[in-house]
Amino acid sequence: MSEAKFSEPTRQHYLGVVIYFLRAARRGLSLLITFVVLSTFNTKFIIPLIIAFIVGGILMVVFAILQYKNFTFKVDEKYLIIHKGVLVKDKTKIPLERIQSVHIEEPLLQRLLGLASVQVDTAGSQGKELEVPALETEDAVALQKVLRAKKEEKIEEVKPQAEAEPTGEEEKSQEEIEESRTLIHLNIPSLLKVGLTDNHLKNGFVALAIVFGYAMQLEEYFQGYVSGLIEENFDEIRRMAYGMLVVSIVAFLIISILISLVKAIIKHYDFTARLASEQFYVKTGLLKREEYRIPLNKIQIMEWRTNPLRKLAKMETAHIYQSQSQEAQRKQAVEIPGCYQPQTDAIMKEVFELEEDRNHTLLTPHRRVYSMVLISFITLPFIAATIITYFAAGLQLFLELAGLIALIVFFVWKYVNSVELDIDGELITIKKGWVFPKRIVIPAYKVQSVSVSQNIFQKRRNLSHFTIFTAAGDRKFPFVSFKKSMELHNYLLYKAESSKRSWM
Amino acid sequence: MEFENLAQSTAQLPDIEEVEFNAHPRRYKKLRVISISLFFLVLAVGVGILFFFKDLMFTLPFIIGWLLLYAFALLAEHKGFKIRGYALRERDISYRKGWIWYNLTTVPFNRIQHCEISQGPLGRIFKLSQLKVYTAGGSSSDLFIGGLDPEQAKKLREFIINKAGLDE
Repeated sequence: MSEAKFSEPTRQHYLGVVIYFLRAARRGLSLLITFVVLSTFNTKFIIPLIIAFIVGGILMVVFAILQYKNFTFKVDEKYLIIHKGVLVKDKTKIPLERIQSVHIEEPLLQRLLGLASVQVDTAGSQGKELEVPALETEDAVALQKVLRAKKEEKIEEVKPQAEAEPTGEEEKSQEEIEESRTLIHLNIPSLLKVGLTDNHLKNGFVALAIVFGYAMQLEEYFQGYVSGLIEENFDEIRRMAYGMLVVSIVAFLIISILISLVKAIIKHYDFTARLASEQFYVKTGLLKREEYRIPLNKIQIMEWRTNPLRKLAKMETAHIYQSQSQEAQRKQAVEIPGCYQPQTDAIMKEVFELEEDRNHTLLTPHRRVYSMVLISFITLPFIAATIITYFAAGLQLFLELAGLIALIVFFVWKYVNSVELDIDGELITIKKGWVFPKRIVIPAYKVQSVSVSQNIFQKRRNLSHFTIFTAAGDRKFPFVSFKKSMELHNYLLYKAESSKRSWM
Repeated sequence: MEFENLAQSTAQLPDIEEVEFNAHPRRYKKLRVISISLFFLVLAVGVGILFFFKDLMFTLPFIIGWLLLYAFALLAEHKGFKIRGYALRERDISYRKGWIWYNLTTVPFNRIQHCEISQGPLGRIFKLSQLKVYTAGGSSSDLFIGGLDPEQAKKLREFIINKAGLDE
């Protein structure tokens, strides 16, 4: 029944017009602000502003209607076909077996209107992530079902001898979700814990950068009025600033922590990760409820990250990277916050099917050379800047520079000492990071290609960089001995080439 | 390094370094030298125009720098061309290049998604084709082998498609 549903070109829900209009409006917002600010300076802008506002509004409505009218999609035996475009008509035809994943998103606006959007991801470098926005929620679910079912069908057809995936999986999926066991559910206290242990400095600085960005824009509108004011009263402001330093640091920290909390609540509200026999189910989000279904064999890379606060709480965040087009890779790794040791163990066991303990081989970079290269790259700009400004600033600057370099040397040395690669026959584990430790796990047989590179300076010392490419991006391991790189190269090729397991 | 626990020890694994690499036809070097020269020509003309309208003070240092860089690029090309080459084995294809930045990449056939041949304007003049081997998950792992004889490229493509079990 539902299959027949999309075999003819299908339009979105008519409220899609509203979505398209609001999207355009959001894009036009900063332009609008510009005009409004300008007109407060000069009344002669008011009339053009009103005219621009009306004309722009009408254009946006017309565009939204055309966008809605021209957007059709259908699913036939072989392809998902999408027609769209107003000025440039665009037809996209995706072979069903190329579809990697289909998931449903409910951004706030669409959710308020009872709509949902279906995201279709295809792997491969020519792959594009496709969106079918503004469908009625039931239609979105139906489309997801149809695409998944047909895709499985196609894959079975192409590879009849492939390991027998349980058929009729699609109908079972609902029960399966209920049967599956909950791996992590964040209730309010644990949600707060995740928020409280976030990287506050990063969140704070990102917020600060955004505020500054707007301030700079405003500054342009005010035509230098503010910076003139600051220059005139510079000394006074500086005196005040020293006095306010402590206050502003405390304020910055409080605001940063608040931002972390808000971010955690918006992103991870009611986060649930369930683990079924073959799949991960993740559901999360306050304003925008997102739902992911990740087949375990699609996982190419897993990363565990933590920070000093989370280390105290013995908590990590796991990131799941699936085979995806590059575009999609940049956007999303599925995040599993609040992993403790038992959850991590469970994930490792299910995803990588670990049995007994295996022997490990450890590779380490050439620490001294790696540190020296990093240190010179980081400190050179500072040294250059100090020399250039020496005559203006004097000796004190040099002392500060010496302190700074000592600090950099210390951090680089700690970082470099944390970098290591562990290979145990099935899994490659790369560890790096001292303040923000990161553990990258890649199943050896999922490797897409491998490469060894060596620049002319490394040649003298017989060092090289090793790169592992997977369907979910590449990971580098630097300054390892050339000989060991070649051994790893040969070994990983052997693993990938001798494996018959499904890897994508 | 010993991978003690493996079915095979690393010493027994097939070693990519022992494989003979196939060099490109000599005319590919000419093509590369011409394209490098074109780049430097455009650079010289561009910067020259800038100086013409601005200031003649930097002309001499620029010419010296330009000559040095150009000579260095040609030297690197000359040295690097000896290293350039591809190798086929039963289960994978490798390409290596680079004198200043040496790089060796190997792609197993069973990870190849797509394979095509292309020819640019210079390639048409020199009768040289480029073989592009795509894997899943993004452009960084794709393998481009330029400067192949068109016939050879076609054969290579057929061989790879056959080995990778791709159709068309």
